[in-house]
This record gives sequence, C-alpha cells and structure tokens, in this order.
Amino acid sequence: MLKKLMKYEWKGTFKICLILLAVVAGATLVGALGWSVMIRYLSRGSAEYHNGNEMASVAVTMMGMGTFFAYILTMAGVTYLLIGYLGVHFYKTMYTDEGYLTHTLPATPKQILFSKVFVAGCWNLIILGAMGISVVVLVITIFGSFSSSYNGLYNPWAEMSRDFTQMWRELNDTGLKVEIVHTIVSTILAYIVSPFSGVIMLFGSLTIGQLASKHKLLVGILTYVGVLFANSILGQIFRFVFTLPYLVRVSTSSSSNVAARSVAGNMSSTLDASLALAVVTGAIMYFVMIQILSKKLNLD
Amino acid sequence: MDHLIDLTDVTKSYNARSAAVDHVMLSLPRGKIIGLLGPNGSGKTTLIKMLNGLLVPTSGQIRISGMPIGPETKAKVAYLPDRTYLAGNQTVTQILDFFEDFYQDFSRERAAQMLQSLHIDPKARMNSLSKGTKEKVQLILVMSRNAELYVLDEPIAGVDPAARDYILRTILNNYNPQSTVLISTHLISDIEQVLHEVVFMRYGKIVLYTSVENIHKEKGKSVDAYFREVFAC
Repeated sequence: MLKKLMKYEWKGTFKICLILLAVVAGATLVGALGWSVMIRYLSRGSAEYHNGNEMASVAVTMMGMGTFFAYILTMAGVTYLLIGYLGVHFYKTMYTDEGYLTHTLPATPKQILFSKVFVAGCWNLIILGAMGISVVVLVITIFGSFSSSYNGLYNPWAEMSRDFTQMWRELNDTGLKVEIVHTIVSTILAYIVSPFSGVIMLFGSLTIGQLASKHKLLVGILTYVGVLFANSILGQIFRFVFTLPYLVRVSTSSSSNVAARSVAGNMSSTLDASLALAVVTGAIMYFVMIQILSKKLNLD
Repeated sequence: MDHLIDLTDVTKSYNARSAAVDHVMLSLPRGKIIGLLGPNGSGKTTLIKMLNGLLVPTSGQIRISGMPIGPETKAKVAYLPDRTYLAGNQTVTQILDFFEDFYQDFSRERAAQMLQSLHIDPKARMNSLSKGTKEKVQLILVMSRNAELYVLDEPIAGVDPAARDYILRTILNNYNPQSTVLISTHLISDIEQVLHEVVFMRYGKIVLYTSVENIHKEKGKSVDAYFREVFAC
C-alpha cells in the first residue's frame, strides 16, 4: 500500500517540481553566461576602457550585477514557490474535497502521512541539491572565465588547490582535522535532515489548523509562522548552550592552537545544535500529525 | 444475527453545546438497500462520514463486519460523498487506474461498460465535465466495486430525471445480495421503489428503523408520505 501511495504522490507532484528544477537550470545557464561574458569583457584590459568604451564597460558590469541579483532572486523564489506548492498540494489532498478520497483509501494514517512527507521531503532535497550544484557550476564557470581570460597568467584552480593542500597540512599539524571532518559530516546530515524537517513543520502546522472549528487554513498558516518563529528562538538558545564552552575557552586561552580548535569546535557544535533541533522538532510534529489524523480527523 | 454495521452508543459533537449524532444505537443487516432519511441537519452526513473514517466519533464504537473503522473496513466500503472528490486535472482513465490500484474489488470492465452506456469519454479530464457528469463518474467508480457496503450520500441530487433512473437501475443491477447499500437522500419518492428498509433521523437520533413493507402495511402510506407526516414543520 505504501508503494502505491508513494507512486501516486510522485505522479501528483512531479510536474510542478520539474518546472522548478527547470527554472533552477535556466537561472544557472543565464547566470553562467552573464558572468562569463562580463569577466571576459572586463579582463580584456583597461585599454578599451580608456579608448572611449567606458559606457560599454559600465553596461557589461551592470549586466553582470543584474544577472547576479536575478540569480539570487530566482533561487529565493524557487525556494518559496516549492514550499508554497508542497503546502498547497498537501492541504488540497488531505483537507479539502480531495481528502475524501485520500482518507477513504484502505491505508493507515501513518502510511498516508509517510508517503506525503517522504515525497515532499525528497523534492525539497532534490531542489536544494540542484541549487547547490547550480552554485558549483557558477563558481566553475567564473573560475574558468578568469583562467581563460588571463591566458593562464592567473589560474584560480591552481591557487585554490594550493590553498587547500596547505590548509589540510596545517589542520593535520594542529589536530583540527577531526573537528573539520565533524563539521563536514554534520553539514551533510543537516542537508539531508532539514528538507524533511521543513516539510514536517509545514504539514504539521496545517494539520494542527484542522483542530480549529473555523478558518482552519488560516489557523494552519498562523501556526506555521508561529512554529518557524519558535524554532528560530529555540535554535538561538540551543546554539548558545552548545557553543558556550567553546566561546569561554577561546576567550580565556592564550594559545592560538587552542583558540583555533575552539573556533572549529564551535562551528561543528552550532551545526549539531541545528541538526538536533531539526530532528526533535520534526519528530514532535510528526507524532502530533499522526495523533490528529488517527484520533481527531474532522473533514468538513 | 449477522450484522454488517454495528453502532454502539455513537455520539459526535462539533462543540460542547450540541451533538450532531447523539448516542446512536443501530445495527444494519447484510443484503439490504436501506434509506437513511431525515431533514437537513439531522446527522445523516455526519453518521456517513463516521462510517467512512472521515470523522472520528466523540464517543461510542462503530464496527463494520465486526471490525473497527480502519484500512480493513475501508477496503470493504464503497463511498459516494455528496461532493466531487476527484482531482480536476486527471482524466477518467487515470482515475480508473487509481481505483484499480487501490481497491482489489474494483472491476475495470464494469466501469468501462457503464462509462460507455453513459457516453462518457474515458480520455476526458474531470475539469472538462459538467457537474452532473462528474457525479456520474463518481457513481460509476463506486458501483464498479464488489464492496460489502455501499454508502451513497445524495447520489441523485445533482442529476437530471433520466440520469436518476439510470443511477437507480445501476444500483439495483450491481447490488449483490451479500452487500448492503445505504442511501442518504431527500428525494424519497424517486428512490422509494428500490428501498428495503428505512432509517429516519432527527436531531442526531434514530427515530425510526423499519422495513418499507411495514410502513406500507401498518401506515397504509408510501415512505415519502409517511416521512412528510413524521417531519412535518
């Protein structure tokens, strides 16, 4: 049953999510083209600038900056559109007339909920991943443009590789490697957990809204805003508590090694705190949703 | 007696002041077509929603085939709600695929036959169909199942008289003696001919549960006429 539910959930969501993925791909292409044109043009040297092409230079620079802002806005827009779409799809299939079909299927509330959370979380993860890849593509394009524009005189790849090798050697010497690996693992875990925790908070809030006798959608949206706010406050408290020992160590230590280790530890603890909060909030909201769907379902 | 539906002291309250369904005790047998009748606000739809797991009773117990409401009972109940619950962007064929996937008792052939006899294009999208045709598609989906219990909430309310006849014929033709059909409607005279038993509801309570034959014999009236007498304003 779970397989069937997931199959139809993928079917029901793929069109809009693929469009959003296409938007990310399009923005990446435009961003990469805009920046490579700007870098190549500006790197032709100041000769043209002094030869009366000042306006062209300004125009190309503005185009590059415009492309940059458009790229940022597009990525932010895709993030909000995705979360909005996932919320609307969940609400529509669970709590409007379409919910009459969903809740009369021979499936348990747990199966129905899991299929929805899993598919929405996967889309969130995929699109977030696509954005990450988009940034990498942009960086590669920009570096490549620099590299080819300066005829090999300036090679950002070689410089970056040199810096990384040196940094890694220093990390080994100071014993910071463990902290950095910890930070990388925490980042990867946070990347996987956060999209799921995010949709659970959204779906949970909309489900809590169903407990209201009137204006259920409005109550759901307000609950979501409240949950995000509370989560943010709790996040600050968690991070403060988690990182306090490191901050004390940094402020009291005169050794640069200890200070460096504390800063790295502080970073990984901040991530751990965020991760722990995402897991705890997600688990609580998921449990609340199951309880409401099993014991308090009241479709209008 | 082998009851299909057992309601034991079932109450549903939306607020503290009143109950939409009030301490209902009712057992319904297999193999009957039963009319659930009552004026607006009498609790018919609330009762039907509870049978289908769309509402959770405030108190009491509901059992279908001896099982509490859950995936097992939902697999045995074919429910036609009083609204369109199908997504508008789907074609009729996609919806048939969906039903075939989820309900083991769904007969694709029967659905195809009914679509053909009602001249409904299986390739049509739901949002391109009229309200009446959407209702017909939903009825076809429900009546194409070999369910133990069919729960039909206002199945003939939104369709023309010719379609009403077709719907009633469909209910009769597809009804098997081992299953029960529970029909809620205001249009009693239209449906009376197919009913075996009736349940009258008022203010969330059962005021009468008897056979149509009894009403004819004891009251000397049609169900419609007796209903008008009982619920006269």
